Amino acid sequence: MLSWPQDFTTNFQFLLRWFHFLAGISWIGMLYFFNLVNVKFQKELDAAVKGKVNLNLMPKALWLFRWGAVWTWLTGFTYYVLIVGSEPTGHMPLLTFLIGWSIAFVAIAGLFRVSVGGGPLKDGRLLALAIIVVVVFIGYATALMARNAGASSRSISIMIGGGLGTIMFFNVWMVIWPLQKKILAATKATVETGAAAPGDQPAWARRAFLASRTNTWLSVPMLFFMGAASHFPIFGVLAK
Amino acid sequence: MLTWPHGWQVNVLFALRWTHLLSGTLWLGLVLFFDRVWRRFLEEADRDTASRARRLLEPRLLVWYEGAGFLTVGTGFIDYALVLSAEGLASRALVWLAVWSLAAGAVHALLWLSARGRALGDGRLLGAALAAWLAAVGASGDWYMSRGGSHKAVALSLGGGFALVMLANVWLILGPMSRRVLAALPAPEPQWERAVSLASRLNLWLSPAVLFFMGSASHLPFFRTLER
Repeated sequence: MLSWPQDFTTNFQFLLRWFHFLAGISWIGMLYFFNLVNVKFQKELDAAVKGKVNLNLMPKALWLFRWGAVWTWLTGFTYYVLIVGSEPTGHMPLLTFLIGWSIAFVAIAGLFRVSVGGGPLKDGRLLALAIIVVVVFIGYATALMARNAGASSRSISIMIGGGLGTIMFFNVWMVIWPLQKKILAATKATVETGAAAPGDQPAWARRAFLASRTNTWLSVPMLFFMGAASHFPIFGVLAK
Repeated sequence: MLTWPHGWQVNVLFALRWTHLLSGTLWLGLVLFFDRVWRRFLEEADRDTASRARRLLEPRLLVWYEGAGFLTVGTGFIDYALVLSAEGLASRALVWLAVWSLAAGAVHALLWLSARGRALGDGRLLGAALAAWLAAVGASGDWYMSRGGSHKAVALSLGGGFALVMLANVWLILGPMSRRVLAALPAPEPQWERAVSLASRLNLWLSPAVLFFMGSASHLPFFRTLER
């Protein structure tokens, strides 16, 4: 009762999609664990076992988290290259996508640093508002450029969902993981030699937390646009 | 720039799908966490640390694991019933539910026999028996749904069927047995622990299969429709 599609492209694209799902679940699943379960767990864990627990637990979860992010991004970007290449725009939107969302990441990473340093952005709600402004501005500008170049609803939707995913990917590898490495090294020193925690550790933890919480919120619209690409053509008729 | 689709059905369907994606990511993410991070953490930690961490973390983890599973399968089932009724096969949604509930019941029985050491104590033998059983149910499901059903109807029946088995594992074995273990710490019955670990491992193996059929429903048509 099978009639398997014979052409290479269909099979290859589905393989990419399947890996994208699997890696995406590894990545975002660990992200949800960190935010929904781990944050409260860490607050309740008593200091006597905290170091021992984290040196065992965190490396395992962080491994699935960061390598999941790499495979999700790579398979997703390859797929996006294939989609864009089949459209009248040619490969131009790739450049818009990469430049636009890299700018968004740099701005957001800067906001985290400012927020940890103090001032009005120390308030999480104001920080969230500033991040929303950046994301909406870059999303709107890149989508408009892609539409004017003749991109389909599908490709615009992937551009926004993938853009949010790109911010999240950079947050993992350029904010969360480098900081977690420092925190784990300090925890190890404390457990093994009884050294006092470095004075900067609370600031590292705060910045890693902000990036992690931002990723959790961004994952919600990210999945909206990912699903919308194939199943909800919101950027439809007006595409030139 | 926006051309939002009109008609409430389209919007409701997409809201269902979005919820399904979010809760499904959480669910399968926690399946992976529970098996590949949490169980391994417990194996490596010393007894006292493991017990303390367990009492704090597991109750919260289990609520999300069970809740996300219910929401994922619930939204999926509504969507599936709508897909079937669009093909004029609405009544098959109930047949599907009955058949896969029975299949899940049999899986449940096999897991218990193995956890109690009555039969199939070796994990590889149990795995082979479960794979054979689920392949047999899946093949009959394909034969049944293909008669008049589209590729989508067949693919979703398999992906959703495996997901229903996973949900039963969580709600009937992994959740209740973990709570029993928690209440009996530091010296729980080994067979409860074994049941939790088997249910967790089965869910880990089923999730790639579920995702394969779920994704293929819309993106890789390989089931052929037969005469009714």
